[in-house]
Amino acid sequence: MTAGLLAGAAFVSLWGWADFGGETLGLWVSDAGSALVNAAAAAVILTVAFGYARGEAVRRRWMLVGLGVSAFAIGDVIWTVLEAGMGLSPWPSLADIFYLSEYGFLFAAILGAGLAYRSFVDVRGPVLISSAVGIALVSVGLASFTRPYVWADAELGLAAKALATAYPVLDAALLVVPAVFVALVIRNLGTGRLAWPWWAMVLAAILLGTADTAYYALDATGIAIPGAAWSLIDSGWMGAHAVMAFAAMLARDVERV
Amino acid sequence: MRLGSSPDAGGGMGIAEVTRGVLEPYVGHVVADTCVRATALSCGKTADTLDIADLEVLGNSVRRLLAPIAPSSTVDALIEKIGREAT
Repeated sequence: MTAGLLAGAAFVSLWGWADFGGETLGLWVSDAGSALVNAAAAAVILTVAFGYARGEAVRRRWMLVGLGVSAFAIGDVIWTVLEAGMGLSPWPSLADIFYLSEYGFLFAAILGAGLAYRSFVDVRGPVLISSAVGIALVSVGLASFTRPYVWADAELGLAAKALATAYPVLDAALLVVPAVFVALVIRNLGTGRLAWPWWAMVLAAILLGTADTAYYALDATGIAIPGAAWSLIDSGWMGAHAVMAFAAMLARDVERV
Repeated sequence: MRLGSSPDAGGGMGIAEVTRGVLEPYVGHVVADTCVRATALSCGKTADTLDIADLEVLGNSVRRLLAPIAPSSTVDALIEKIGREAT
């Protein structure tokens, strides 16, 4: 299943890179393809979540991950309708509300996974270190490209400026911070296989945050990069969600006794 | 007497050692050891002196401690495995 999702992501990215079939078809493949891959990942994760009994802590966490990826997929559908279907600019738009809501769901899920171990390890150190990493990333991001490029751009409207600031800030605060936190917590627990899915979630969160931040940084600064590099960044979102689906399926595997 | 063994453990490994052995591959040594020590504390014993009679308390401790990190079906299966290997 994960291989299928990754193959789908690769197909969509390669199509965009090769510019096969003209601009209109390329737009449909890129937008609708991304929506399909992300929706499939959400379906996998929600199926895993519903497989747990009601009231289980693990069910709640995978449900949150599934809802987050579903929100992103809904954002993709809206983006597709606006851009490929109606020929409108999809940014900023209603899609951003769904894209942004993914951060909240993932933050709650990943942070919850780390806090679940608070009976076993002291989580104060990981909280402090991950918070420091988040503050450093947000500070560097705001100082190095948001202020000089986004807020100085007279052509951008207020909503676009707010969104171009919010995405990278939330990438650091709501994805990287909990990812670093949970990594530091489970690193201290030895080699228990029940933690393996959360290592995969750490990878997915960092992949998602990196793709997102790279996209907004390059877009804001206007630095020219080859089309293949854009396709690679574009595939980061789909790849991250495919890894999340893999993490959910891995959770079911490692829980077998 | 080996560390962690008990004269009541059927001549094999003690409950503490069995529990660590069963839980560690799933939850790592820190969590496994915490489960054993929490059980010993509940029974007013040390980890080394836990025995078959403490299996029920052990099961309750493991259920309570692992509930946030593992589904109940997995925890039940692990407790059952501990019981099988300890007796």
